[in-house]
Amino acid sequence: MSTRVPLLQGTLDLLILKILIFGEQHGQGIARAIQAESGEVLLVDHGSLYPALQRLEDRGWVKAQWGVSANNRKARFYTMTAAGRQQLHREASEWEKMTAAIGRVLAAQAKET
Amino acid sequence: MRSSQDFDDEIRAHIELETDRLIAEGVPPAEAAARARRTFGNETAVRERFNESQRWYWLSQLVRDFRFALRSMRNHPISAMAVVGTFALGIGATSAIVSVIDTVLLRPAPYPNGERLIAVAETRPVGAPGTTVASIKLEEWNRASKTIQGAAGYYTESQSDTTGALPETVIENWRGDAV
Repeated sequence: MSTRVPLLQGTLDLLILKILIFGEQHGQGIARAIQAESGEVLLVDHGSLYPALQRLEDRGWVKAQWGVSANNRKARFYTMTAAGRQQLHREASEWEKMTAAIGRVLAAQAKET
Repeated sequence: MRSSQDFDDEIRAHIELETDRLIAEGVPPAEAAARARRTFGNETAVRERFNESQRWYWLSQLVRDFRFALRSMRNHPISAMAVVGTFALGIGATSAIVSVIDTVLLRPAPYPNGERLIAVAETRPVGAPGTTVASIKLEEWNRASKTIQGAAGYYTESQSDTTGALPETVIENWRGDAV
């Protein structure tokens, strides 16, 4: 197994919202999707997903409803709201700005004076 | 409002789904359940975080603290009684003092325009006898003062009441009315 990195603080919300853009999903599915989409690099503590989902739900970015999974198990399915979609755009562009800025700093060369 | 039961159901559903997935990947069932739990992490901590995020969490904490207080009082009745007694005396004394201050100092005297009543006295050099005002001065104050509308005074006199079997001292109260 390749080396795995724990999730950066504060990025879980962004990843959850991103996964939900593909349609409704339950918590375990979201955890799986994040892990799979990251090429099995990101280490998601499955438990930490649920307080995060609850937070997103309280803020009105996702909606939840009990349903039945593909293999006939009861599960709570999450869907993204319009406000959630806006939040995703906001957070994603912020993230891109930040990573680009950090990348520039890391790539800095010694300046000639 | 979501119940913690609902939240627990969701956690259980997650573990079942993850176990199913691992079994489908070829993991032996006994190990699959254990691994699903392991990747979930600390279930109790997750439940606690959910409970603490609830809007009425403070209320349930308050109820719990209150119950704890009652329980401790039942277990230590003597110290509980001592504390209750201390509070009762303290509150009683304080409210008595406050009601005295209120009626004596804060409320206007119970007469029409009571808030306009003032007491006037003369002061004298230390050691000089008496603090009374000569009644003639009342007339003078009434005539000359622009600050007060009218001044009145009173004085008392001791008399002997000899109508009974034994003589008794009677304080007679005299009053001079405002003009």
